[in-house]
Amino acid sequence: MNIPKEVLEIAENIKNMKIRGAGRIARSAANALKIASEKYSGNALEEYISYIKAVANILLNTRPTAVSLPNAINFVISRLMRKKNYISSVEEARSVVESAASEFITRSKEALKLIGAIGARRIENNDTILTHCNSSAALSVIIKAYEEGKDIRVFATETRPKFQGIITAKTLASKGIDVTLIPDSAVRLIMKKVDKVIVGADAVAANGAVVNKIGTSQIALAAHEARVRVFVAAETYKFSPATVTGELVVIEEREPNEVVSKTFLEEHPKIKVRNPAFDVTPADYIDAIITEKGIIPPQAAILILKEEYGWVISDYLLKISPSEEEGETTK
Amino acid sequence: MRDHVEELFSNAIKELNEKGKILSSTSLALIMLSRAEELVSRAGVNSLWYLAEYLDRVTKVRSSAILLHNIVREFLKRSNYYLEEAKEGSVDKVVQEIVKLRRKVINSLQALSAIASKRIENGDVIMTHGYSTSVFMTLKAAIKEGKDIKVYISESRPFSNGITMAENLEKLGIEVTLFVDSAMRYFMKGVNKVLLGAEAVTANGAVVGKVGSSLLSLVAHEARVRVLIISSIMKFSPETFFGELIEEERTTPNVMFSRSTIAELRKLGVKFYVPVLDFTPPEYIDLIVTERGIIAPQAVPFVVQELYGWPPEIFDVNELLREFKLKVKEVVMK
Repeated sequence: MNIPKEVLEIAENIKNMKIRGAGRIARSAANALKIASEKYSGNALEEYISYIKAVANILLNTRPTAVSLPNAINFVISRLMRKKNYISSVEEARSVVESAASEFITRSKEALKLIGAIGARRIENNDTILTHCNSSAALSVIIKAYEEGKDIRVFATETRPKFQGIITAKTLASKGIDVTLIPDSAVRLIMKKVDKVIVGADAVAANGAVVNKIGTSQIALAAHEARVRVFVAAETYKFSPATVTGELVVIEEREPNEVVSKTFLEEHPKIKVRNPAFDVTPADYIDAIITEKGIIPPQAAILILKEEYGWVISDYLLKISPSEEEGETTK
Repeated sequence: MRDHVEELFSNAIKELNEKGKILSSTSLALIMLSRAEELVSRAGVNSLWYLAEYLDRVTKVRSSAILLHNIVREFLKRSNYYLEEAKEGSVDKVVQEIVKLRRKVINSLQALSAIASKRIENGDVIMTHGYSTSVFMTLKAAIKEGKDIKVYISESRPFSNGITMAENLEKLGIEVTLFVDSAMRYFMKGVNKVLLGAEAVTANGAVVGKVGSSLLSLVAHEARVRVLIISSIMKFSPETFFGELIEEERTTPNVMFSRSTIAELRKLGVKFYVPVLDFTPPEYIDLIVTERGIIAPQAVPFVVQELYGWPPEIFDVNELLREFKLKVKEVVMK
């Protein structure tokens, strides 16, 4: 069975970054599996399963370091594997894959709303909140709390080099929320006035460490010092399965001209400008991670990976979606 | 003659308004003394009134820069004494006093950087923040001694004077790495010393520094990296022994964002908070290097006792200024 061209197109678009953002990548991958399943024209169950696995592999290899992508795929494939022994026809297998893919897409779309609703319960009247960068999940919590009638104030860091804090400030101010922009260097000074820190995440590692915009880890440290609670708002598809087997999260360094001008770089060849995009906050500095499935301590990250996405260690060792034997033992 | 003084004065004020908050307090002190010398040596008695006004403005622009207050205090104390006698040549003595004070600042810089550079070892990777003249002089001395060092520096918003520091260090041939303030903790793992200057040192050994300094000290403390404060004893604040608080200086968002961005954000209701300084508790400081040697932050009272007696005897700068102005009036009338 040939891989349908719509599926290859999606894979190509994920690869060349036409499809970007953790949520969109994940949903596109789930959708690609669904399309692949719908287009399957054969009649042999074994053949169907190897075909779906082949599609899963193609998708997995488009962005080997992406976090949400393997989660989306495993969400679907692990459900197929768990039920494999009770399935007798291609029709049944198809319905498992297609409904799992649809479920993933719906869930991921609803995740932000759920995170907002769950997280807002942790915000109290008169709270002063500090946030960093521009995280839709963190903003969802803050905005929901405000809409529930809580009187809150927000400090937003400007977030150099790209000033995403300005977008955060605009978003919150346009909702009527009291928001103040501060330089990134002032986070320890301001911490005395802060009750809660809420940030987003780019990835959550198996040990509960959070990868997020550069600066997050020192904000969490300053909060820890001041005994201010730190909440990370993150969809479960941001939990990184690769870290279970010891993979390190690769921190991308971006172009130096985001920090200083090109002319400056030309005039000062001996000044090395480094621009790491993310940093890693250890679980010790995080009080809780707010997910669409509920609030968990960061150390319980592994629970999400196992329960939500059906990951078992050997899955990753094989560099492929769940093996048949292991798949059955998970539940 | 009069026009000439006014021109000198107005130029000095213009310069103060432009750079008064951005410069390191040592650079500002040296500029202040140069301008004071220019004023008095070129325009004699007639300039003293302007001089009083200028000194007043400098101390107000940087209300927390104790070095400036201490220099102005010392200058006024002596000058009031000379003017008291109102003898021939008292104006010359005022000029001499200014020259003496400038020499004192420069000597202290040389002495403290010579001591501090001994604490820098070959192969050190040093992180710093903001622009500190004392830190710069220390690194320069270390390079002169042939030590091979690398420097990591944050851009140091809101004024971004870490960039100026990077440029000046590049001229010394030092390998400099520049990054955003948010990346201090990211790079701390590879660093083995943090060097910071001071705006003021308080009675309990806390250090007032450019905003971000306390964050850097915390990050260093977490990573068990030593934090060295390089500061003249002229920055020790005797007032804080009597419970005086150092004012939390702020500046406008104009130093951070373009006018159009600010206008757009203000329209939406966004507010700005742009602090200039922050406070590092003594627990995060390993030592303070002064021109009189190295001390623990908790030993600040010993130095203050030596300098000002115990309990410290201090003269109010505003009081001294008023007195100075009165005396100047008398001298000019004569």
